[in-house]
Amino acid sequence: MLLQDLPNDILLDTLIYLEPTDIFSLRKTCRRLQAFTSEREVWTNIYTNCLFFLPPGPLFTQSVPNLERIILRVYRLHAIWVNSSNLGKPSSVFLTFRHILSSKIRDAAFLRIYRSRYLVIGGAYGFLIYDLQANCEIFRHKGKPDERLFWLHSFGFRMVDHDNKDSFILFGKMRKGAQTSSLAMCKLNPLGHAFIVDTANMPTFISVGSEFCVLRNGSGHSLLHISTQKAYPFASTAVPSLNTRAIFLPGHVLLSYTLDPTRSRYISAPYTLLFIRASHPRAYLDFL
Amino acid sequence: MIVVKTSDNETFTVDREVVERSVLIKNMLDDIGENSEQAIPLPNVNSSVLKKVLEYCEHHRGEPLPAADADTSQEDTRKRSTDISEWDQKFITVDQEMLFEIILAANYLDIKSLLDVGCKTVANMIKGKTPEEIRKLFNIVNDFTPEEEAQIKKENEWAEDR
Repeated sequence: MLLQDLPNDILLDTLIYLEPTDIFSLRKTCRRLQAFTSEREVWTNIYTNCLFFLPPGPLFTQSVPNLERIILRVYRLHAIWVNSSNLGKPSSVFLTFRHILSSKIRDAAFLRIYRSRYLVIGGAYGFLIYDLQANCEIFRHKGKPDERLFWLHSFGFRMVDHDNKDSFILFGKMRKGAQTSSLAMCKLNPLGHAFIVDTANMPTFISVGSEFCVLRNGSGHSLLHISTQKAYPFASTAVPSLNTRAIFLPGHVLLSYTLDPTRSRYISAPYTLLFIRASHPRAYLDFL
Repeated sequence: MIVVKTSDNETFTVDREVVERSVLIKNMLDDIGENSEQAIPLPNVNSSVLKKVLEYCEHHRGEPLPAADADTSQEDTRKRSTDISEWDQKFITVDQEMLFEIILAANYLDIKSLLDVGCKTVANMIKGKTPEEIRKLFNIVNDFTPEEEAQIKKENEWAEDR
């Protein structure tokens, strides 16, 4: 008595417990099972007994390969969310995460994954970059004792999401007792090597776009090209130094400001808009 | 007590409650009436297999039988899980020959729960294995020509994990 000698109705009862990939494996074993696992009845039976949400069916208009595809897809989706073979046990990815989070950095306040690969955990005293693919830490930055790092939602990897270009992690630095913060960056090259780009002399930044950020120093504003760290100052008279906001548009930066400091928080404040062409080597202002 | 006779002419005397877990036998008994002295012939089951099947029935005696046309929603939840209870698991840990015989007997005698245990066991044996591993496990002879094998591989390429 062999597996392939079992009557069809028993095989049919058995197959509903299998995943589609197992049935495809059976199909490759011998002629008898190849023929049987290609029967319409097998797939309609699985379709009706399927645990997961499926589109209405099986319909007469659906061919066997059609049904196979639908069922396979739904199993794959399920596997992504719940690894059924590990049900009840946390996955290795989860364990890695928990390990990193619990042991690697104090007061983690910033947590992002970039390119499904680089996990960045930032805290007030430092940050690290962990390569989830290679399963190793690739960079760790420890801030100076009198420095606090801060992470805003708009920060993170900037510029360049192409695989052969550098990426930048932007964060803020605040020196103890200082009134203003400064911008700092960490550069990550395609080989996974990271280093800090010291922008300590950079003044308070206002806004960060995908290629540029707008900075403010004592005398006025400038536009910083992130990947080259080149700053392009605006004419100091063009933009008042307070209450400025920047919105990044493709090729342009939209600056808005109000001269009325008391009303700056409200939408109704009389904002003036400025367009700055960001794509030119020397940024200049276009008055609206 | 009911007497049943196997294909190899062995007779077993069992409690009616136990043997009635087989829907086939239950229906037979209902048909021929209470007081029949005659042994019930089971020409498709041999004594070693029946012994195992009766062991299963004995252990599960008194448990409610699934209704003839069970509620489909209940049916669904039962079908979904390949979990097998500890006792059943131990019971079904037999060689393949016996496993298939038990499945066939359960199918013939119409003992749904035992059939399920058998099918789940076979399914668990197949799960996650490569075609080569399945062949090895079940002594399946690869009867494809190389051309056919290439053809099947090609047809199923879309389903491979990428």
